[in-house]
Amino acid sequence: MSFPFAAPPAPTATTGGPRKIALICSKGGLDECYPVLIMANAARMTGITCAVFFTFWGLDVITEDRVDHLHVNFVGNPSSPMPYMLAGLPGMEALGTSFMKKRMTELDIPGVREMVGMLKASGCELYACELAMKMFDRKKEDLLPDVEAVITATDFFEKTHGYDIVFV
Amino acid sequence: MTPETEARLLARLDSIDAKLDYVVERQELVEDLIREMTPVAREALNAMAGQMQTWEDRGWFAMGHALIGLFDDLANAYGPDDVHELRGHVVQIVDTVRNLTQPEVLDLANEATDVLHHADDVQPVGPWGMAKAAGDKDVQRGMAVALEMLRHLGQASAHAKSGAPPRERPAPRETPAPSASPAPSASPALSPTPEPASAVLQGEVVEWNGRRFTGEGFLLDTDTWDEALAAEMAKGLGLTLGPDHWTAIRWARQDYMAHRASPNVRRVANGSGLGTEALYTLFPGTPGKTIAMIAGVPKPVGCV
Repeated sequence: MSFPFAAPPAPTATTGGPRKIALICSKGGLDECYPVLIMANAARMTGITCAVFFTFWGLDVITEDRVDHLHVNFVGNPSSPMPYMLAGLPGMEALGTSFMKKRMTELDIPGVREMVGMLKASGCELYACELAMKMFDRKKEDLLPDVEAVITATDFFEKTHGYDIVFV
Repeated sequence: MTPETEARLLARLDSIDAKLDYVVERQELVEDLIREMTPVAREALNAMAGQMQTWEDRGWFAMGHALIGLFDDLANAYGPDDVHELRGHVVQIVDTVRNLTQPEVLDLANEATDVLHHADDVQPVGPWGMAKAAGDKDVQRGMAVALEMLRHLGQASAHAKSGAPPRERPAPRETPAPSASPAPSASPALSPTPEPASAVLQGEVVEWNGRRFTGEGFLLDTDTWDEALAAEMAKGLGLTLGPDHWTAIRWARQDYMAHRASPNVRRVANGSGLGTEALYTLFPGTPGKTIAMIAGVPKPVGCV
């Protein structure tokens, strides 16, 4: 009798067929882009087809000279551990960022650049928003090589027909 | 009237006369006593009034009055149930009072009063003054003490809120049972040693090829693994194991033995040197879980 189990299966969508997820990353804070990257990676590890659309500030996450300098934003964040009056003081952002990066390293969570590379390697499709690119005056060459293409929002929705859409 | 009745009447009168004499005599005695005692009693009354006046001057009556008012208030505010409850806490209350009246505590209170007496000399301070004062060693000590008290206060209030006993030291985290120990008991759900999460979730054990597996197909006792088993498992999963597959599987197994935690995709990709992309090609779908399954280690739990 052969091994009576299947490989851990990819969950099937309620509609039937393999499950697919499209994530939209619209923010560029270190704390705001990690959820997208980790969720996308977890989806791939679970065998779920995944695509990520980077738009507006989310473009920073896939921009070559910004990706290593993403910051944590304390101002206007009600969950921030920092008292509101202090959060806006100069240096607080850098302090919070270095603290968060330290914790990430302790927990063995890769940096943003490595996460994006991992997503690409795992077969996750990464797209940049054309309109946002124009708005921030960026070119395809400014982006990480992991980015598949610069497409419009309409293109993205056409490509991700049948996906669950998650906006972050 | 017969002479007998007359004689009886006379005898009766005699006896009444004798009793009257006795009563009058007593009356005179009492009158004498009153006459003699009056000045003494007056003296005593005066003295007593004077004493009362002194008490009054000292405020005893006012205080008594206030105390009665206090009891009234107490009776209004608390019912018999409260008092009943209070009885249970008497020991605690006495303890608290005793602690509060320890000499060092009283000294501290006295010192605090001294400071209050000299409060006139103290100048108001703003935020900068506070910052400056924070440099003072004594203030720093005081702040430390205050913070410690605040911490306890917080704990106590949390305790009071939840009604649970005060927080106890958390039990040290159990490490997974070492592989040298015999196989965990047949029922993973009841086993005291932590099982891989999947086994607990599935709650069932499947036997195949003389080994025990979780309901998802992960080997329960990693020591019963050998490469022949791995090859057979891979065949069942539709994989033919090449050298790269074996690199990943052996590395994952070795890493599990070293850290007692199953590596997930990133760890295997970096550790074995194969890279993420290769792993997704070698083990399509769910490389992390598939590698762990074939390597005979528990289902990996990490997110990256």
